[in-house]
Amino acid sequence: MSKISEERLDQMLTSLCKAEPEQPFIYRPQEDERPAAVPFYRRYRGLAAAAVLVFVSVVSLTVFFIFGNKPTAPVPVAPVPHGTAPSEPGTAGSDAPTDSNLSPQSPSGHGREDATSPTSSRPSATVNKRTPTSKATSPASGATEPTGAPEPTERVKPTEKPVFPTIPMDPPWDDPTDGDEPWLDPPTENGNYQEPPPVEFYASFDADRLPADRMIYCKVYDRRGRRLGDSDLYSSEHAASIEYIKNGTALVRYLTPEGLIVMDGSYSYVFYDSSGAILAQGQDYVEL
Amino acid sequence: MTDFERYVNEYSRDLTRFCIHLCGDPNDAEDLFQDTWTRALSKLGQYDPALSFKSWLFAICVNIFRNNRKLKDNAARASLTAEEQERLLASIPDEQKDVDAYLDLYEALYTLPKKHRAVIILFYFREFSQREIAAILHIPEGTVKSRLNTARKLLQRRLSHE
Repeated sequence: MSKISEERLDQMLTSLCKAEPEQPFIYRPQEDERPAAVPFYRRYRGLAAAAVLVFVSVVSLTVFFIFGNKPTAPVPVAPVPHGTAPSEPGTAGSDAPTDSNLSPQSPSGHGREDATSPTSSRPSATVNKRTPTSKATSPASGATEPTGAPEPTERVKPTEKPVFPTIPMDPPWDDPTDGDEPWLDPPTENGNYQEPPPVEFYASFDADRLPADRMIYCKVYDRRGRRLGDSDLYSSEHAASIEYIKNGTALVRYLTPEGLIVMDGSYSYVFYDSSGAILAQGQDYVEL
Repeated sequence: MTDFERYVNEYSRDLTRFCIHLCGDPNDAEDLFQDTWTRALSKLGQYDPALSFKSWLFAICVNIFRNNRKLKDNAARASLTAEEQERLLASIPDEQKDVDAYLDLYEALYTLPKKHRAVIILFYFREFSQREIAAILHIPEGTVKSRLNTARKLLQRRLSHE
C-alpha cells in the first residue's frame, strides 16, 4: 500500500470520527441506584475477624508442631536421692554408685525417682565392686542401660540448634510485563526499533519582528540546559518555518530532525533569525 | 425534566460516538458511557456552568477511559466481525469510500497508545479547539500538538506498511 498523504489521512480520520452509531446508548440510572458495593470485608466483618483468628491459630500450631516440639531444654529429672550430685551430661560423678544410691528406700520414692533407684538405673549391687576405673566408665554403661527415664547423655545438647527449612530467596515467578504501558518500551514495528518521530515546537510573536529575509531558526535545550543538534546554528537542521502571518502575528514552527529528541521531558526552545536575534522562546513538555 | 436529564438527552449521541471511537468494542463503549454519566451525575455539584458542559463531560469520559485497565492499548479489540464492519462502513460519511483503507485505518487507530488515541479522536470530532482539548486532557496545548503530530505519523507509518 502506498504512503497515504496527510490530507487524505485527515479526511479519513474526520469521516471515521463522524461515523455515528445507529442507536445511541441509553443511560440507565436505575441500574446505578443499586446500593454502593460494600467490600466483603466490611460486610462480613465478624466473619472475617473469625477467619483471621482461625488462620493465625492454625499457622501458629503448625509452626509449633513442626519446629517447636523438639525439647531444647533438658527434661527435668527428679533430684537424685540421698545427697548424690544432680545429674549432668557426661559427668562421671553423677552416676557414681553409693550406698545411698543403692538403697531401695530412697526418699525420692516413685515415678522418675524410681527410675533412678538402683534397681532400675543401676546394675545390681555388684556395682559396688567395681574398680575405680570402672567407676569412671559406669556413667557410660549406666547411661546405655535401658531405663524409664532419659539418661543424661540422651538429652539434647544445648549447643544443638533447631534446623529450620530454608526459604528460597529467588521468587518462583518472573515479573510479568504485560505491556500496559507501551510508551515505556522503545517503539518497534515488525520487531525493528523505530526512531522516535520528530517533535514540533511552535511560537508566535509580533510579525513586525520577522527578519526581512524570512529566515528563521530554532535551537532546543534539554532540561539540563544542554543544546541538542548540530553545532552550526544556521544549518538546515535548525531551520524553522513560518506557518502563517495573521492579524499582525506570526506563527512559526520548528520540526526537529528525527532522533533529536528520544525521551519524554521538558525542553526549551529559542527561535532566532540569521543575525542571532531572539524572536521567541519557550518551554514545552514533550511526550513521544 | 431536570437539568441532568436535559444534558443526557442532548449529549448522549455525541458521547456514544466518542465512547465507541475511544474503545472500539461496543460493550466496553457502553460501559464507559454508563460510567461517565454516573460519575457526571455524582459530580454535578462541582460543574461550573461557565464552562462547556460537553468539555466537562468528555473530560470525565477520558479520565475513566485512561484509568480503565481493562482497555489495553494494543489492537486486541480492533478486529470487527463482518456485521460490525458493515455497520461501521455504512456509517462513514465519505463519498469516496475505500473500504479496505477505512478498515485498515480503524485497526491502526487501536494500535495507538491511549493518550494518542484520545487526542486524535477529540481533534477529529471537529468540535473542540486544541485549547479545549488541552483543557479536557489536562495537558499543555503544546503537548496536544505534539501528540497529534506523533499520532498522525504513527498512523501514516502503519498504513504505509500494511
